[in-house]
Amino acid sequence: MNENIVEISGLVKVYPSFSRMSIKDLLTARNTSGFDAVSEGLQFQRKVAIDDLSLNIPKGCKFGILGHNGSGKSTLLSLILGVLQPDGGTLKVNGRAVGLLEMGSGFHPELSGNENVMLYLSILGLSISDSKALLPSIVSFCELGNAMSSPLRTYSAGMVTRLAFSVLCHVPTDIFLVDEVLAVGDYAFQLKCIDFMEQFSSEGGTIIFVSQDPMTLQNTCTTGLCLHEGKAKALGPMDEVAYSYIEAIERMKNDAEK
Amino acid sequence: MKHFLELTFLMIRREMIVRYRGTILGYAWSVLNPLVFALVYIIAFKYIIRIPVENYGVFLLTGLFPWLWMSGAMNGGVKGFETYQAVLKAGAVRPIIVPFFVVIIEFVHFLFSLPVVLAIVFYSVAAIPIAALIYFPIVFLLTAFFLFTAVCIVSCLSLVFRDLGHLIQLFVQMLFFLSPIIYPVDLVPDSFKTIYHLNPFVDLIMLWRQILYLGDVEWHLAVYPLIVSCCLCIGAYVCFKHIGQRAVQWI
Repeated sequence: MNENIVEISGLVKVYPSFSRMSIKDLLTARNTSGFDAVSEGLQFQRKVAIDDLSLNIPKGCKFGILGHNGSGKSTLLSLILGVLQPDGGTLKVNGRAVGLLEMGSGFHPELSGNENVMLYLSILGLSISDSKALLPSIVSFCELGNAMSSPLRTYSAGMVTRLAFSVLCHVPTDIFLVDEVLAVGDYAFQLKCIDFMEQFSSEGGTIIFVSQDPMTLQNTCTTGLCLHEGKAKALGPMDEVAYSYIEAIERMKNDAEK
Repeated sequence: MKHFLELTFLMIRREMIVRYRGTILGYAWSVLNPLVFALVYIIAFKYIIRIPVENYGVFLLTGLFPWLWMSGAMNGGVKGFETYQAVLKAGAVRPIIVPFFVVIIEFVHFLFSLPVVLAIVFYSVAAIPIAALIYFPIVFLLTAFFLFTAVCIVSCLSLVFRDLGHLIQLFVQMLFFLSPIIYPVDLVPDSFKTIYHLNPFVDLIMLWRQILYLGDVEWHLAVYPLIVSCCLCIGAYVCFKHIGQRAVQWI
């Protein structure tokens, strides 16, 4: 059984950026050069984040995504999560995906750890009764102890990440999206997260892991993708993808020196 | 649907905790602030300008508190998607909940202040219009529907046009003085009345004052806000289809 849990073909995502335009810009542009110029201007300002990307992610796979800042990694995750909609091509996700795009963004600093967990589980789509049932195991997984009843503003960044990860990994799901999280927690917690992901994967879950660091991905993932300006630069076994990523960086470094 | 209600409940609870935890007066602040405001208006309009209205304090409060809900929702709509972006980015709920949250959470503040308003009505007039208060849910639905459609449009358009936020704030400030909150509608000159009544908040404020204080509900006042809401509903649909559904990419 090697069915695909994520099927992407010819995917295009374009960000509109005329949010930067003020009404003044719109009016002055219209006065000087007519409406066509405005729409041309708008076209020009658009930013292509994902450009004709095709790939399949098989079920139960550990898939790594490498790329520089702004290469479209987070956009791709948002698309898989269903937070963003494609502007072209097709994207099919055959299951439920859960992930954090920005660590702890669903948390509120004034609420306690417990309250934040309950609210965040609800934001992720769980009912209050399911959340209550999950709460004890989340509390024990994150090992924050008494801090769970203090407001989140008293937490360190590492503690917030621990809590966010602990919540996420308790949500029943088919696909687990991880976006550069493990760098923040302490080493013991990192090992715990890797253990969790191994177990999740062995139970048939799919992991999509986004990182800047080719070494981490080589250790955790089997298949991978290297994104460059929204295009697939390399796609295949993680070792080869990581190698091409490192090679690209070396080449850029050499070019800069010349 | 059940999840939607639960999430709304948790968001309202969050809002309450965030606002009142750690403050000594807690709940009192939500009422105290508008009451102090009202006091200033009473000094200005009852004692200095001498608007000829019986029980001016009660008259003012029964218009002011509903207005605070309406203006709060309009102003909250401007940054609505930014306020709730974390909820949208989790990917489990649709963007349409954002205008809903904006309207409901402002309403909860109004609801919390209601006992105080009714207590003041009772203290000054020695009677609460129980018979009219029964219509509370209807007037609530009417106002909520109007606000929801308006907030849908405001929140979507302000994602694309950043200037709109400032314009809306100005507009809402203007409408405060162009609605019968601090003066009765009889004082508006006849020649000006047709234009004056184009503002749908005029009828809504009058309805609220009737059910909270005056007692006689003139239902014909509900017609115009309802028509406006239906028109706005079309606008809200268009805005949501083109912008709201894809709100996250605009934030």
